[in-house]
Amino acid sequence: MEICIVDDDRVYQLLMKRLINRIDGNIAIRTFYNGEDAFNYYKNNHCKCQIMLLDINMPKMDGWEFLENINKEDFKDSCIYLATSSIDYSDQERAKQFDKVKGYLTKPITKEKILEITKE
Amino acid sequence: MQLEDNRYHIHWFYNHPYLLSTLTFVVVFGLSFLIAQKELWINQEKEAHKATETLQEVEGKIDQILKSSYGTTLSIALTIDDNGKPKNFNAVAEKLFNSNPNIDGIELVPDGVIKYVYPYEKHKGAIGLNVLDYEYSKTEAKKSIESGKMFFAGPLKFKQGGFGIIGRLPVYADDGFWGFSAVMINLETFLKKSGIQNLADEGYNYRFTKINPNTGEREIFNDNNSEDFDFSKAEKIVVEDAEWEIYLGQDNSHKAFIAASPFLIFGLFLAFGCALLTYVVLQRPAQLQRYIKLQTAKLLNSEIKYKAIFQEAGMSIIHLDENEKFIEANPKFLSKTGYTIDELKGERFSKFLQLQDDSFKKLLNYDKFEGKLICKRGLKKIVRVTNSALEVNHQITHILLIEDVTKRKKSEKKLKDLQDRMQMAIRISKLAYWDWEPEKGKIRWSDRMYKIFDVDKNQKFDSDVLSNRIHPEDFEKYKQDLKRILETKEGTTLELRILDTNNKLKHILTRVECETSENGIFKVKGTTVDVTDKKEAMINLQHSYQMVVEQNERLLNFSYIVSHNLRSHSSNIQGLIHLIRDLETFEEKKEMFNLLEEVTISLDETLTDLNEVIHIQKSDGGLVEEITLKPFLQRIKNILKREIKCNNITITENIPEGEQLKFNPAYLESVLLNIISNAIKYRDKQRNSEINLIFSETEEFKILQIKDNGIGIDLDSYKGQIFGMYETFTDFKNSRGIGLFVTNNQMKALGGKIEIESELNKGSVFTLYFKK
Repeated sequence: MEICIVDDDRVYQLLMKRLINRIDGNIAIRTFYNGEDAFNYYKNNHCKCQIMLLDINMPKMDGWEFLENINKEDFKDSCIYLATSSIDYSDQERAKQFDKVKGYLTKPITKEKILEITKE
Repeated sequence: MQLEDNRYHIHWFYNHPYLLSTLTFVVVFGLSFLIAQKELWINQEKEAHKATETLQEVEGKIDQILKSSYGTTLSIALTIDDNGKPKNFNAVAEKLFNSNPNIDGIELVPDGVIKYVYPYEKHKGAIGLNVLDYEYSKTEAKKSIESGKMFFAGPLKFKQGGFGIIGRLPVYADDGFWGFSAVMINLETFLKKSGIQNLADEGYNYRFTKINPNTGEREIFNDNNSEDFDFSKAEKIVVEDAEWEIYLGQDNSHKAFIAASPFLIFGLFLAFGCALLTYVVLQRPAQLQRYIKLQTAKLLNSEIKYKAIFQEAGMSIIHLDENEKFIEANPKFLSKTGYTIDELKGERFSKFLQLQDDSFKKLLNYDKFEGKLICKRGLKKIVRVTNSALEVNHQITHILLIEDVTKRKKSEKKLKDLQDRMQMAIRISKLAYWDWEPEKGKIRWSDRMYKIFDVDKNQKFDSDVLSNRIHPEDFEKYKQDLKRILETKEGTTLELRILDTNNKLKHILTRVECETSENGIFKVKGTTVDVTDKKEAMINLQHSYQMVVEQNERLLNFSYIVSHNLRSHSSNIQGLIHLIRDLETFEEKKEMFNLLEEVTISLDETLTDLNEVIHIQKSDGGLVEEITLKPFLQRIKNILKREIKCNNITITENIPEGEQLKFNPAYLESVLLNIISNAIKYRDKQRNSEINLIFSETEEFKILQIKDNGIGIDLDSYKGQIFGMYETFTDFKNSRGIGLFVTNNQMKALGGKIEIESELNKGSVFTLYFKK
């Protein structure tokens, strides 16, 4: 199992790595600091991670742009979760427009939330 | 009655000028005729007297001639000697002939036969004639023998030629009758010498006559015997020794008549003159009389008309006496007011009238007045009264025309109200109106149009004046609009800018309507309003709106920042705390605490940033100073001295010496530090970094451009985000996305702006606009 974290917040990434390791040490974690890097990786390597935690605010390519690009490329079996500190309602609404978005998670991401999404 | 009679007689005279002038003529002429007649009589008397005198004179002269003839015959007879023969006949005869101028010849007739004659040559033809046998002379010759006296025969024709008289004296010798001694006198000579000839010369009508002894008929010897002559009335003298009768006629009367005629002619003229004068004098009154008659007829006609008008008129008419009391009222008045004539008679008109002005005390002194007429059931009608005084037989009455103006007054009031309201509306709305006849080029403007266009009312006005006022940028549009209106003949609304004489901009709004009248005249007309205030208000409003939108955007941005950035820190703290709780080992916990510290530092930074942003947005730019650009830049370069040196950056300046900006120095420092340090931070390490500072200016702004040859920004992707908060475009660890955001806000706070041009891998240009 592989979880992909796309976020420019270094502290958050560290935090998530520790959290996930504590749940299951076998889960592979791949991290990207912006949407562009993530998208390029996906495009080139047909990455088949089971869970992607996607931040919205990022330099170069933000979460929305990433989603739009994904839509164009027609990736399958993607289980993208938006993981953002934004509690803005408009963001939640906007997220619903994307079929590829499986869920909307508000930071902080707790152990319980990880467990929940990994079970599915 | 006496007066009337007199007047009647005078009228009779007036009416007959022809008759009277004829009468005058007759009388005057008659009088002058009588005078002439009298004069004629006097003259005739005079003439008669004169004739008698003349006649007596003639008689005397004849007598003289006869006597001298007798003397001559007697003298010649004495020459006869005893033998019965004359002695020295010729010598004696000559002497006698010469001494007697009355005679023309002398002869001696012994025994009745003419034997001696003197002058011989003249009378020789008669020698040998026996006068006692000669047919023409025998009777008279015998008569003288019988009477024994000298007898004058003739006038008769002489045998020797000529016509005259012969005076024969019978001469007796001792033995009895010897013969005749005779003298011959030519008739012509006789008439002359006797003065008879003078009668003719003096114009007398006379007759010198004798009863022919042979025929017994009266013979007339004078020349002018053609006229009729009344012998019975004529005066006469008789010469017995010759049996002549001389008559002087009365027909000299024509002379008297001629003498009297000037009187007659004068009389005629006088009579004619008097008649003419009479005619002229009488003609005037006659004319007047005729005029009066005409007037009377007219008056009568007028009266009939008046009655008809009074009765049938569609207008109320009343007749009042001097004291305003009713004499008469026409049916229209009665029906209007509801009164009967009996109710009105004897009442004063003012009782039925309510006047607005009490000063109308004596109603009938006014020609016109208005008031309220009180009708029968208390109904009041506004009336306009026209009063005209009427004088008949020295009695003054008044005819009043009463016009019901209630409706008119009402509509007048309505109209006036409407007009007032309209004018008020126009005044309040500051609406100007105009019309234009394109065919004639006739333009009419209301006063406000002149005010709006700042055109002198007295200036000659044409379409050029209008065109000149229109803002150059709007002129083409105006021309197009005008063309369209004239083509389509459809109304429209135009918004134009004009410049007044002081080049002050005005916005006007014009509503145009087109109209083609019945007689085919095409007119464009409409209203115009100066909407400068509104327009300016709108522009201000737009500015405000834009500001509000911007502020709102900033607010949204801000709230987004709060929800994202602040929350990302708080969520991190929360997450870390959760984890710390779960962790058992101290090492692990320590690591998390370190992270926690990192997060709190970030949080502090974010809060500081926000505080700064809020400060800029709240303030109005703080203290603005004149900043001299060059030394100021030098200071910035000093601050960045280390970075510039370490990274080998070349900075060039293209700024005029002493050029100044009006800006807050703290802001300017922040802005320039930000942009220049960005240029250093995002330099392209592949090449030598260069930064150019270039100054320029426009009408509104002073401009500073900062050009670098750094890595550039992909503007296609990030255009809207460049100056946003926490927008970063690189993976640089120290890019926080706050610098340009602050810079933008600082520029805007002082009325300036910032623009960016950039190309990836080539460089960026930041242009700073400072309001002048």
